[in-house]
Amino acid sequence: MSQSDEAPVWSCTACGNPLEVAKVAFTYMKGNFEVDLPACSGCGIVMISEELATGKMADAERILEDK
Amino acid sequence: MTFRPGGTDLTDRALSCCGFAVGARVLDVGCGVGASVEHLQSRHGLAATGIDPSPALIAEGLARNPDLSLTEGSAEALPVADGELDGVLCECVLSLVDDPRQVLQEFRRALRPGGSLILSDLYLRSATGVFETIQTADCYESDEPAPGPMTRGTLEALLNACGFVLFLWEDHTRLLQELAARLVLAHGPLDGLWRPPRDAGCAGERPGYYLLVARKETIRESER
Repeated sequence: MSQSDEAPVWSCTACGNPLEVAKVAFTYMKGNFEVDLPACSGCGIVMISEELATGKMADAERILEDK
Repeated sequence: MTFRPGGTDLTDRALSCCGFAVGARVLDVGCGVGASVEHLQSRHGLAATGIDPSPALIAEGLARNPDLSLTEGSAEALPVADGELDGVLCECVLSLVDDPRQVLQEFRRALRPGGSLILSDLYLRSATGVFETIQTADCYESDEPAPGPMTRGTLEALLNACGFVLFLWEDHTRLLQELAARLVLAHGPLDGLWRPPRDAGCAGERPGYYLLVARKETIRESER
């Protein structure tokens, strides 16, 4: 993933298409979840920011793991 | 839309244990906009009614479906005669009332002998994951359970004291965890909500979620 200097718009390094926020479904510990995440409009690869990974996703993981 | 762990699936699970006949009189206490009342009527053919203390929610429910029988009312004073109901449904409410004993006694008054009480709500699990069956003596030693989620032992003792016989108890904490995880992913941390505020002196009890069905005793010892 790369970010333009002029505008905070992410694009996909692999195929060059811009990232667009889309509903992304994932499964964790047998639970199904949907999150709005930036995803490549071409290949569909999803970007998970460090803030999201260490914030909301870590919190959700702790709840699901009963910690 | 229902916004509670398990949604109507848990309601259906409880109803499958109650054996209500078509047309049975069931009151949903804390019905909100009446989603469960509508479900009880349309899916189970029950004569379902609902009460809620919020006039705004009642109005919203009636605007959505004017055929629903929803009225403003409180769990402490049900608008029904003694023994009028075949069932009481109370989802995510008991942990919010000021006096759970008074509310359970009111449920008992409203139910016919042998009538069913369906409860689903938060409860306190032990930190080890072993579900409490006996009230921890040094935690909430009190004649009256405090408002808020109770341990399983406290709730069972209270039900018994109020004239109910427990018929079904199921832990559905997983559904609560999945709902909490969805809320976190959508809105951020649940600080102060996920951990009960009074766990400080009680070895880190954790929130759990239960479904139970209890039956009103036909004859109490004191009434014989």
